[in-house]
Amino acid sequence: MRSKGALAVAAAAALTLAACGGPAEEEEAGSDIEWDAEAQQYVMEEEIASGEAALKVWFEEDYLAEAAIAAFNEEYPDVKVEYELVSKVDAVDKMALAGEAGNGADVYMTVYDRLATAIEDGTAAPIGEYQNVLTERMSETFTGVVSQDGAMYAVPTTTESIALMYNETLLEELTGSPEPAATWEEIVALAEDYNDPAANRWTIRFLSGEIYYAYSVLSSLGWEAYPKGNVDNPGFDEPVLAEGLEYYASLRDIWNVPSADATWETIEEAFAQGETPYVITGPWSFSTFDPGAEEHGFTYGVTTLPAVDGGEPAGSLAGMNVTAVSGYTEYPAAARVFANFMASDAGAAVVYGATGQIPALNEDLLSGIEGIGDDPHVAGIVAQSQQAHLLPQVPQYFWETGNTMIVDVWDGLSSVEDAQAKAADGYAELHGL
Amino acid sequence: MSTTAQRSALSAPVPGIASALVWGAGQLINRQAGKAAFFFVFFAGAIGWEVSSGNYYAGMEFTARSNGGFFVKGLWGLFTLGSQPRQMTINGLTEGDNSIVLMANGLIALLTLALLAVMWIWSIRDAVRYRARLNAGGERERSRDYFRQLWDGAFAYIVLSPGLVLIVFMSVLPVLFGILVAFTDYNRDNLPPKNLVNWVGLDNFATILSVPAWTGTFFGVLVWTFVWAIFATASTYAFGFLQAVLLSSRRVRFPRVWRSIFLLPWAVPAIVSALVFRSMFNGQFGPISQFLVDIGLTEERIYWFTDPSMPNVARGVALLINLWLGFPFFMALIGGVLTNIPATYYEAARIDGAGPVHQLRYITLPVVHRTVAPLLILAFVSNFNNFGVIYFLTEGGPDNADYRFAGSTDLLITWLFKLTLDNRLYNIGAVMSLVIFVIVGTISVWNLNRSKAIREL
Repeated sequence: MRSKGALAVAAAAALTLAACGGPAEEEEAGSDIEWDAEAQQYVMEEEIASGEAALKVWFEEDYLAEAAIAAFNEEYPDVKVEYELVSKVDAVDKMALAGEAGNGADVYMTVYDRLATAIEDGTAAPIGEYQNVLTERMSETFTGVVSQDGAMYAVPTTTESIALMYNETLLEELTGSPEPAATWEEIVALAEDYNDPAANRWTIRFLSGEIYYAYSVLSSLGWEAYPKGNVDNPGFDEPVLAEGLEYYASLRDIWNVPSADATWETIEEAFAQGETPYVITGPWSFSTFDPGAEEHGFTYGVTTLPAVDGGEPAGSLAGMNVTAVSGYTEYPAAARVFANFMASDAGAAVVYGATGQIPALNEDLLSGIEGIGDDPHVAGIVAQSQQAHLLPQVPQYFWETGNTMIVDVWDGLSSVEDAQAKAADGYAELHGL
Repeated sequence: MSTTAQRSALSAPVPGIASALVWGAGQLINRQAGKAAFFFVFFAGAIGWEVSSGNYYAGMEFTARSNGGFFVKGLWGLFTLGSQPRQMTINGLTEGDNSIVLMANGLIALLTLALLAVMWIWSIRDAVRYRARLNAGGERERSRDYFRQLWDGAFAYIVLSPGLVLIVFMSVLPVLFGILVAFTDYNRDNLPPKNLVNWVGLDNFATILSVPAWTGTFFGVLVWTFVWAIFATASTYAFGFLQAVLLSSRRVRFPRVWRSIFLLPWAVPAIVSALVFRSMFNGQFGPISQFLVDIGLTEERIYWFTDPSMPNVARGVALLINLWLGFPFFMALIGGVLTNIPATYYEAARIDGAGPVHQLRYITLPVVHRTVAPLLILAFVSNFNNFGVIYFLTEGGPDNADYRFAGSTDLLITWLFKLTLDNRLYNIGAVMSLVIFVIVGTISVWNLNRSKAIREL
């Protein structure tokens, strides 16, 4: 109920029968935004180009937002861009509400595995003509992850893949050589001497209960998630997966910790303190490892994930941060210009400079960015990214059923066959609902 | 003309019908202008609101979707859930209907209409009754007298009515919304704004029954939820009682200091405590396991929350931690009740030769229990749905290979959360929360009706 005042006003309006109006204004689908083929850019809306109205963007980090906007303004000095801080993981859910309420951002950053949701929600709009621009600048692995039915729904901005990080100083001490292991067998051999479970001394640490991490072992033995690139079949019942899972379960001997106890903090911390020769993690850990290495006097390297002896090179699942254009935006052209800017040379330089994350561009374009060529840690991630697998827009329950399968095997809850059958059934049940 | 002639000319239903058509018209016929104006304001307000929020003009082709106002379009939306989904184009989303917004607006319109219907019925009944009284030879009554009498006689209800309106929109509305979602296909395959949600009747209930793997998990989780709720409530109550009685004893020195210390667990947000306990009880890297090994009490580390072969260890520890979190509430509550027990009871008991145990058993316990019983039921309900402690402490673990998407310590509410919200199965989630609602609601109503404190309220 509104206030009494509103009621009185409404009553007065009714009494005087002053209510009149025009025919319902169904908004016509206006003409499509204009593409400038010569400049390979969309033509920005007049209000935005003249600075009359501001473009609103959502970033997670204020230093990235300020740097990106400053660089954008160098190219487009008249355009006003405002930013709000919204975490990438929350951005899609927030956008669904804020968009409907009319106060959402025009452009926002999110993580690639939230994008399937964003497309369903209508919070990520196709990027249109920029698709052709971007496919020339980055590998298909990246553009494929943000595509659905052949249309790209976001601009891949930074890439990440997990990789093997190793403590050079400690390895030199233990094996006489700072070279990292290329196979799991070498790590197992080192673990026989180095592991001391009573003192929590482990040769390698990783999140053992997640398919995201187990995938390197499984793929080295020949399994590929979604073998047919089709969301109906995640490939949980493939016989080749059984082999991979058996092998994965055998690794419990050298990292004998229940999956739920192997928490993130314990993994990162032990490596940062120089106690663990190997750790499997992603570039987000650099910010913890760099000060740790300095404090505890060691150097560390980054390389491709270990393969199984005689198996294929270990794959990983490509992870990305992406920039999306909201489906609710009033300035679809200007929003796309900004989103595309994040993957331009200038934008990529800003992203790397502000966050140290690796822009999702082809290697030859990457080398043009200042500082990135000399960064050996980045090189390791890029090397692993070359082996990363393209995953279609996977539903959330792929991770849940897959993680349950990995946990069942790792913690010895059930046989490999049972775990596979349960995962396949669980996936089918949720897929069929 | 004589008033009696006019009176006898009109039978009682006539003003009633008039008021039913135009609110207050019956009162006007009854020659009570004040009352008539009172009811007419509501009538005109409702019509005015509809007209001004709608799109009414001469010569229109009326459709509820494009012309309807607050009420007509609201009800249209509630029944149809929209007719035109929005589409994604290069220019963004096209105009269209968002089923969920329509459903919410429709509910608001429906509830507003329900409140207005109360006024409507009041106006009809008043017109009929007053005319009947006149016809029976009763005295005329001025509107002002009527309202004064009303103010005096129904003061409590008038004062409570803003609260009632608030409850309707703040509590009833979300509950109704949740119930309605259980009868739609609102899930990840059918998300607004690009899709319309449809009414599907009882299909969702059939879906749940048709997945047998879930039924097994459901009953397993349900049993543990009951065990948890009963033990969690009983343990916090018993321990809080004990602490309160001990603190009220004259032999305890510095009772205030003790009370403050014991209240601390309650002052820290439960989620923060749960997260701290979680890392303390980490089987492999937590300090407690390590300590037990170091002092030689156990040979190997104890995997408190993660050993699938011992789910009861995890359950027990979770109950203990909940006890630590929950007892201060009952301690403070019972401490307050204890101060209200007259000392004369105990004096009389002592004179009759009752020892401290007898005094506790026959005086303290019954008095406290009688006052606290309704709160015990509320505590049971909140433990039944104790999302925070389980979700942040164990995340449902240890894993249970026989369950789907649930671990051994998962409560119904955490299972439901993982199963439905992560997978965006809002309709299935709504069905399951209806089930929880029925279980918890039945128990609560039955128990509250039995407790004296409520019956004598």
